[in-house]
Amino acid sequence: MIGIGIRERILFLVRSLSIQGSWSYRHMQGLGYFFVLYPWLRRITGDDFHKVFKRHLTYFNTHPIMASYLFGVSARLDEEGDHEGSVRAKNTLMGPMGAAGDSLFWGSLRPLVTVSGLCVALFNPLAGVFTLLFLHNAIQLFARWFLFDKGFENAADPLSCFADHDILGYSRKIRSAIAPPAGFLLGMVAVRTGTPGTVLLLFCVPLSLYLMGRKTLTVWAVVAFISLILGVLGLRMELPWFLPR
Amino acid sequence: MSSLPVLLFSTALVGGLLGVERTAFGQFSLSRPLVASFLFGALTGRPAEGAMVGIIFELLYIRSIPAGSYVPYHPLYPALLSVMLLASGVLGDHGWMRIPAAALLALPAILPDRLAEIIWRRSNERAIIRSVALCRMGKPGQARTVHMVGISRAFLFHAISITLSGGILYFLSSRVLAAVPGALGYFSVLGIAPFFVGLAGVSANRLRGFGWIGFVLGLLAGALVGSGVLA
Repeated sequence: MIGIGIRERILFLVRSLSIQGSWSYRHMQGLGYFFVLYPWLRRITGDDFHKVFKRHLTYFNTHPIMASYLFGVSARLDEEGDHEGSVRAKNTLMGPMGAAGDSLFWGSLRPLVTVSGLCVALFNPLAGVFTLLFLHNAIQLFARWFLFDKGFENAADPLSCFADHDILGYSRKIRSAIAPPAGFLLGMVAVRTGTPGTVLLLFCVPLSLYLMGRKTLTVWAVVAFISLILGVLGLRMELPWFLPR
Repeated sequence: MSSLPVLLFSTALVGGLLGVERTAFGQFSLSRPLVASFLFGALTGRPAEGAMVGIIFELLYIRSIPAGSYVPYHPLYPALLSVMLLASGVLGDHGWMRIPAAALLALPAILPDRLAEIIWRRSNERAIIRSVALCRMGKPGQARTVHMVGISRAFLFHAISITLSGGILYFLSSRVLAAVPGALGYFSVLGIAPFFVGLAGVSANRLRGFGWIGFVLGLLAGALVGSGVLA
């Protein structure tokens, strides 16, 4: 075994940032996966490196951050000479990894980070931008590094790492944490940008919505439409409650 | 106020770079509307207005996520082009009303944004076939170059697309605002629209159980702070 050092890990991290650089509908991140593994494969394979390369130039699609786990698994298995196992692990895990990553990173962490950044931006735009950038990048870079390590450690049994972790459960908890800052943000935006008439209408909505059994999207769309019509009519008739401040 | 060619050139440069960052390389969140419009606003001398535009678009597209192979609507072009309209002076001097008006006028740019992203992805379809052929020919190193070309192509497509969109948007906006007197006043009412869309986005699948209590408490706190009661 050659062993993986800090230089290789950094190279994997930097290259993994461009996994979607040649994203296509046919092979999705296939070439990106090859691009990330290329220096490592070139180093560990002998004269038969063409065959190994071709094995990795196939269809591949998963969440770009969660892909780091599969890079770790592939790096370890290819190093041990189990090229079949490397491709099999990649093909088996990319679907579940993609679903878990979409739910955890895109569906939960990113909205939380965005809402936090927006809340700060209402008071100080520069601080809001830095909050969003710092939180997002700290999480994604740490996750990429950590997942690569875990993949490399658990390459023999790649599923074992996730058996004890309920990723969808984590996602649900993070989503619950979005609620208070999102409420704060929306309350401020409503009061600062809306007219008193529309704002009053807005604050009746959460209670009525809850009582109506959370038929969320449709109800919001109807209330938004009515509110906008009332706003335009109120403005047209110059009613004081609907005049912008 | 800057001249239109200078604005279009800087929009192309920033739009191209951030278009690459969005999917092809990095995903550092620099292309999020809050960051993009703030940075572009700072570049054109109006960072606060840029941040306001960014907040509007973040709320409008809070639910838009790139799950699987779906290409989501991403408000990068509208965010940058709103700032471009504000900087160009086409909206006149109407105080804060210019901000929702600029956002509303630039909103259709979401379509060329998505179109450029889809065209870029389609243009990459032969990349892997070319790479396999290069591997067969004993030149796997050149397959890496094919990947890098894909990244640079993303810059090119987004730069061209946002420049064309910006030019058309400027032309149409100046015509619409000249033809409909007082149009900006009506746009001010629409300042409340991001609230509803953001509310729908947050409530769609994130408010369960005690989440509702936290949300309502946050809403009230936000309203009190926003109105100055708790300031």
